Amino acid sequence: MQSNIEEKILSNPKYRALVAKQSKLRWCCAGGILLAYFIFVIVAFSHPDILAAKVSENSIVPIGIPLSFLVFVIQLALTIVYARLESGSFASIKKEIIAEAKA
Amino acid sequence: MSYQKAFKGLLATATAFLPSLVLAADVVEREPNIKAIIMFLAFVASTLFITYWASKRTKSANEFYAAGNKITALQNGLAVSGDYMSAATFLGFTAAAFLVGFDALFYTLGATVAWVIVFFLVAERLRNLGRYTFTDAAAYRLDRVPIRTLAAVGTLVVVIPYLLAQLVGAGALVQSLFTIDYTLAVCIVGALMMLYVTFGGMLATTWVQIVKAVLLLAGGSIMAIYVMYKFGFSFDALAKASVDIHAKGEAIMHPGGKFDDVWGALSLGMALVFGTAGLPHILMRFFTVPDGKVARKSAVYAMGFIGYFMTIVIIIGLGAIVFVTGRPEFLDTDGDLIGGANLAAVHLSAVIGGDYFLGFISAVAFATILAVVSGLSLSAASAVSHDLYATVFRNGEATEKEEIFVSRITVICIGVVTVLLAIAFEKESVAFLAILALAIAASVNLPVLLLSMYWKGITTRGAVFGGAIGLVSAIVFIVISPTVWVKMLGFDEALFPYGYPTIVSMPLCFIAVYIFSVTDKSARADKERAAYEAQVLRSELGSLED
Repeated sequence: MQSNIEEKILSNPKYRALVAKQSKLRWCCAGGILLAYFIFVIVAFSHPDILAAKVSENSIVPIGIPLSFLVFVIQLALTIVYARLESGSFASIKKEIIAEAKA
Repeated sequence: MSYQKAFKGLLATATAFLPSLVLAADVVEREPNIKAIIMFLAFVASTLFITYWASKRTKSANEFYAAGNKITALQNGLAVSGDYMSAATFLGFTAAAFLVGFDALFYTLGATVAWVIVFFLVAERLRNLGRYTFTDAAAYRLDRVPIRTLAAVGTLVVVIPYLLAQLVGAGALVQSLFTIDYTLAVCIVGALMMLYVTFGGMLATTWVQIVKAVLLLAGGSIMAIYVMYKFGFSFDALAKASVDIHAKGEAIMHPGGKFDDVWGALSLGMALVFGTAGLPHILMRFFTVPDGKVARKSAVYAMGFIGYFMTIVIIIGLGAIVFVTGRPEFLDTDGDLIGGANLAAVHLSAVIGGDYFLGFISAVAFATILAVVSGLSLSAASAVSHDLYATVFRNGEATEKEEIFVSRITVICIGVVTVLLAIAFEKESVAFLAILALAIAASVNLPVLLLSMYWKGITTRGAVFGGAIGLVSAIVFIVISPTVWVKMLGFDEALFPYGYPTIVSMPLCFIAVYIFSVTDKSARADKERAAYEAQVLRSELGSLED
């Protein structure tokens, strides 16, 4: 009874909570990175001097270069953490939800 | 197998025309780069071997489109990053760093941000809803026929211009790298692409991409390490030296030189991020791995490789400023860089490792184009056979054999047509083709895919009108942009000031999908909205049967 199982899952508060938590996490991570990128682009034009500021007095490297590298490191960290969550605790909650509905 | 017989026949033909490649090289005035040609032939030989091996393992539709779901996490991570490391990124982004310095970061960062969007918003649900193409997910609860038609058209108008741009670029590149004839070069790329895809399907396409990704990562690393070694591994010293040598001086360490205003830059940023995220040949790769866990792991690998590559691209570009600028051996009789800024990275390889390393990097650059065009033509073929032929024309009643047959025919048709077009476009500027591909992917494919997966209210009518409006507006605004209106059609002033149409066309698509969906009062629309809950369940938990 496919539709019966579906209904059981849809009315399971555990499932609702999981889906809500997941989509919050996903949109926050993706939105945060998008925001960082487009702020970077906007600042580069409206206030180029902010990103052109040198990292230190003796250096010629503008702060924008290490900042862009930092954004990438954050991206990598977020994907690692999220992939672990999704394959770990989220996956086991999903298994539980399906098992409960089929029982 | 008759296919294998045909493959051996074609292999013989392919090897038969290879000597003419070297012969043709002799005709051209400049000395042919024999070492580069030998290394390239070695690459081609190994990919043909891969294709032969893959052709024995490619019989079912699942094997043809998705490599039998047997690709591992590391392999898929390399293949995906290989798609990102196209000639446009390796040669184009290093050229950007070579020419404008700082502003190249918009491109390199944009590419990594695109992958973040795919990973967080698209990958998980796409995999659970689909089998072979992104259309599977978009059409899950909407009316199959119109949505598959829309998405297949969306795929083709993205893939074919992109393919054409790559082929024209390949021809020009090969002309200066191997000093062989443009037409011959385009024919070789087209013929190899058709061979890989028709016989080896996704398995061969993936392995060709993996081999190339490893070679390119290795070659790029050697170049970056050499450059950094020369400056005692101090990025500051490298930056100082490049500022001293570059004609623009300290301006290359200052943002904002490349664009006139912020809207133009935002429009480019949107095309880079959302367009790259909506490229169908990259989305297809999520179906080649066995399960969600492996898919996620492969996405993390891909993130690492893409980010690493985008970092070394900047170092290579700055290194080219220091080591290539002003060297007489890289200048033509007019005093311009041979092959333009796009060959800055290739010239740098000659400085680093002489003829052998130059040959290696040239061969890798050519391999890059081959691997990417193969992926592109496979995704176009899937759109035609899986979405249009099997679902729309045959109403889901085509057998797997018929479907694969149509795929193979499509690959050959697309190959022949794009090769002929590439020959016709030899002297034309094809910059607008790549813009077109990214802009349409950002204004049709990605919005429709995202909304169908995340918005309950979307209806078939909304998706079709929104997609069509996104498509038409992207094309219209490119035509009236400076790239086409002024540079190609010869008008004095562009009607639309920015190079990329995305800042207008992408919001237009979202708005149109919204308006035509919420005003849709049909019974079909109600059914589609009601089916959302079940779709979310499927997209989060996967299939419940087993």
